[in-house]
This record gives sequence, structure tokens and C-alpha cells, in this order.
Amino acid sequence: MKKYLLLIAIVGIGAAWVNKPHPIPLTVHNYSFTHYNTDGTRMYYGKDLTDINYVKGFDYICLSSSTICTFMGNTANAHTDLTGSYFYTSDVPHAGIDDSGIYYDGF
Amino acid sequence: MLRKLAIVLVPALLVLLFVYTGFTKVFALQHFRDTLYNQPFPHPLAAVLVYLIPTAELSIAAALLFNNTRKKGLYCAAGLLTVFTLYIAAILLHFFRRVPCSCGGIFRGLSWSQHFWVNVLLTGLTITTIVFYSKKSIPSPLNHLVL
Repeated sequence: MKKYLLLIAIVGIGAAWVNKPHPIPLTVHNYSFTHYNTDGTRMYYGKDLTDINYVKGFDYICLSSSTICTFMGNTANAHTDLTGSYFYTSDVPHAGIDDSGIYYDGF
Repeated sequence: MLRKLAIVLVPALLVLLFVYTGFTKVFALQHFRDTLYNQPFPHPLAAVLVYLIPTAELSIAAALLFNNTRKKGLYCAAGLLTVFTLYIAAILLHFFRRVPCSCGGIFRGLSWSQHFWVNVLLTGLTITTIVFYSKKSIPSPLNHLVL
């Protein structure tokens, strides 16, 4: 075994420990989905996904940036937009929406 | 000169890369699971890859450490990097119905296209080193004969 390679491996372990991703706060952005109105304006909902039995890691996921949640559940459900495609909640304004309200964009 | 440099530097670079990426996943396994579940492949596959990818990365790093397994390690590294590169290419070419966040890769700040070019570079370096290794002169047992 080459000693310098072992040293590099130890440096790599240290770097991995220092740069390991930190867990995201569970209270932020674990909801929100959007629809487009028929006139093209965007309508935002805030909804607690856990309240409708969505399971984190299966039906939706939030990544370490904490502003990005991706819904991964059944595409027939309402968490897709009207085109049936997935979306990121980073596109959704987080101010002005709450768990039960509807936020209209552009009105 | 270039050959010697590649034979010394590329395994070192790959050890650093695979130890770093492997242990980053091990140290934050839940985060890695989250990013895999966000990728556009079936969840049962993601559930296997959560353990398979870090195991493969750390095994390759271990193989690169030892003289008698280094060449096999280089082959495996080239294989794994090629698989990653092809996956990124598939994402960039919109083979999947959505483009996931690129935050689960080698460096979380890189975009998919930047990831792609980094992987292409690393794969190229690894393959070049394998070629250099193959051309490396094997000392003949006759050299050690004392006449």
C-alpha cells in the first residue's frame, strides 16, 4: 500500500465529515402545490401534506436547500399542475400563503 | 513523464473522490436517501442504490489503495464514472419526464451540465491511466538473475 494514498483517504474522510449535508428543519416548506387557472394565471395553495397522509420520502421530498420540495406521488393526484408534470415549490411564493388559504398571483 | 504523473496522480485523485463522496453519503444517509427518492427512477431501485452506491464507491477507493488491486480499482472506477456520466447525459437529454435537483452529486453546487463535464474529465483521466498501466513495463524475472 502506498502511504500517500492512505493519507489522501484520511483527508477525504475528514473533508466528507466537514462538508456533510445538514438535516433540514422539518417545519419549513413541507407543503404547497400549485395549479394553473384556465386563463393562465397561477393559483397557489398551501396545504399540509402530512395532514392528507402524504409520507415524506415517498409522496414528497424536501431537499437540503430547504426551499425545494418535489412531489413524487401518484401523478393522477392534485399535486401535479394541469400539464401533469412535476414542479418545485421554489417556484411558489412562500409569503402570502398559509395552510388553508388560497393565494392568487397577478390579481 | 506524463505516464508516471498519471499513474501517481490519477489514483490519488480517485481515492480522494470516492472516499469523499462515499463518506459524505454514509455520514448523511437520510439526506442521500432523500435525494435518491427525488431522482426519476423507481423507489425500489432507489432503496437498493442508497446502500449500493456508497458501498461501491468505498470499495473502489479501498481497491485503489493497494498495489495488487489498483488496476481492478481503476477499471471499476471507470465503469462507475461511465454509469454516472450516462445517467447525467440521460437527464440532460430529457430522457426522463422531469429534471431532478442536481444536489445529490459530487459537488452539491454544480449544475447537471457542470456535473457532466466533470464526470467526462474524470472518466477520460481514468481510462488514460488504465492505458498507461497496461503499457507499464513488467519487470522480467531475468532482470533479477545474477549471472
